[in-house]
Amino acid sequence: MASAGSGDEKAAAAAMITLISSDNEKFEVTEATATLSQTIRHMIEDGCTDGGVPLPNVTSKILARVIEYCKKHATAAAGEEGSSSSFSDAAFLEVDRAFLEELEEFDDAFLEVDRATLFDLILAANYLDIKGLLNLTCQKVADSVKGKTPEQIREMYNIVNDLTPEEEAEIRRETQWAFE
Amino acid sequence: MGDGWDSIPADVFLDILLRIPPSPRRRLRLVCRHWRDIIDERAHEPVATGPREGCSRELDLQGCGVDSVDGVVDVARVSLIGTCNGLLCLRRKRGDIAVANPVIGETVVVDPPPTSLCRDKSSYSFGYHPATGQYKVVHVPCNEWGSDLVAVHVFTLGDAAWQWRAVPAPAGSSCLLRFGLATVDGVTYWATKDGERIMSFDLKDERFEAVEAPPLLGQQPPLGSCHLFFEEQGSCHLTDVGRKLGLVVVSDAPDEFKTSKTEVWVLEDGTWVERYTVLADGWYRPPQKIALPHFAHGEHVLTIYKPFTWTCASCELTLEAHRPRQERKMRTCGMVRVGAPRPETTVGVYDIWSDLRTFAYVETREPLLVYGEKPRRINDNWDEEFGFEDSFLLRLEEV
Repeated sequence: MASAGSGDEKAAAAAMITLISSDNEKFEVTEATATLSQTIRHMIEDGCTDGGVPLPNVTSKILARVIEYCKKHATAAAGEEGSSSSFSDAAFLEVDRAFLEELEEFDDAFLEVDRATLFDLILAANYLDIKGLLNLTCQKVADSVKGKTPEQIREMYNIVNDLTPEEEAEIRRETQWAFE
Repeated sequence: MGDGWDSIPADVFLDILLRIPPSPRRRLRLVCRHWRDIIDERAHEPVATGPREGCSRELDLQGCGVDSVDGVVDVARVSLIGTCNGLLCLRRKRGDIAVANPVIGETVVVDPPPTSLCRDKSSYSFGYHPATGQYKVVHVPCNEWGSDLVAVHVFTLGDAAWQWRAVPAPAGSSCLLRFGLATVDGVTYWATKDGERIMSFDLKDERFEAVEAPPLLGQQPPLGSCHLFFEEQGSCHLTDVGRKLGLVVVSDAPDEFKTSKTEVWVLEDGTWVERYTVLADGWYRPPQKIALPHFAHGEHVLTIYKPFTWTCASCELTLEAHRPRQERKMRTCGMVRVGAPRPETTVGVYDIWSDLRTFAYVETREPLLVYGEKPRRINDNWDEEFGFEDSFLLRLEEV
């Protein structure tokens, strides 16, 4: 098993991509990690990654986090492909379950960030087109809003209420019947 | 705006909003103008918009894993218990319960409660409590003709225990499933076995209460007494009418060709108010029937026309939408008079033999897998499962 793995690793090691953050920091990542980003995948397909990929919209702090996410999930994707061959019985499901739980724990811990970082991660995920990360971060924001009153949301996100009392009354009237 | 919201592209903002259930999402319009405008323009529900545009869409249940390895939902072998916030709650032929979001193709499967009592689809209800943000499946183990109730079973989606809980009912409780179960705004309602009172079960604090009896139940003959219903000259149904509890009282015509009358009462702030009267003319053809359980759609009342098999060649059911009129001043009761189905009121045509049931539906991208479904496989036993218990068409009609 070890010998088969090392061959793959060499092939992967050969295909390294350099990502350059807005503050000019360079990050070396494997192609498998980088291609979780559709934006970078397209760049690789177009053959324009020599000399590094500049990402002027992403700071080094955020890029480091994004890469951390991609590394973990790239391994996950590889693991899934590998295990599908042994698709058979409960044992497979057991492995699958443990693995998904680990990934879930990683995601939960990954989202333990302050609000500004969370928004930066959303912007980066959107710009780099990383579906999983965008999904994860958007859900986190949606959860933070869910179950809160409009007042609480305004307070939480420093939003100024620019609705006139008439507009507010109008919305309240409509909302009463919103679900007909 | 502040703290990053202003930098979020509109598409991503919309993505976030669509993850919030539709009814709390409506309330978010109160945050500020920007939020109101985005929700109004990009994330509004398909509510009634005037006379018909004849628009119908089929809801694709295939995406919910119908054909996947674990065969989560199969259209032909499931029956719909109810809908809530764009989520469908289905009872599969094998008896377990599936909650599905067909838009994003996610399904959560729950085993039926461990009880030998009735587990028909009519003994379940599905609801959401706005204050807790929790979805619950309620099982009221009773029979159609009325029986004593010892406890109701509750399953909370996302509950770490992932199991049904029995909540003991007060002594003397009973239920008549014939009147149906209705979950409205986080409270499940049913009629007592004598058909004269209504009980409620709050999904938040899980407490039972007696509800003010509607004037028609408990009254002397014409409609109150149960024997009338046993003779199939009428029926009562509890349902959601504009997020309030409604009681639909149908008195069928003595013979099939006369006018049948349907009265709809709504519980408004503790008082029952008559909201609609539907008079269906049956000369030369069977009278239209009120659509159930969802008949109050925006400003419209939905009815169903089902031809006699021997009077027509194609036997197509039609769904009709009518705008009630206020016939008498000072009365809030809207009147609907229907005769033959007409092109200007027809919103759906169905080539099916079974009865048509209607449900409210609104698109949502609210994920379900957060509620803790673990990967699982189920052995399909086709022979046992085959057979159309309650096949249904899931179509979206925009009235």
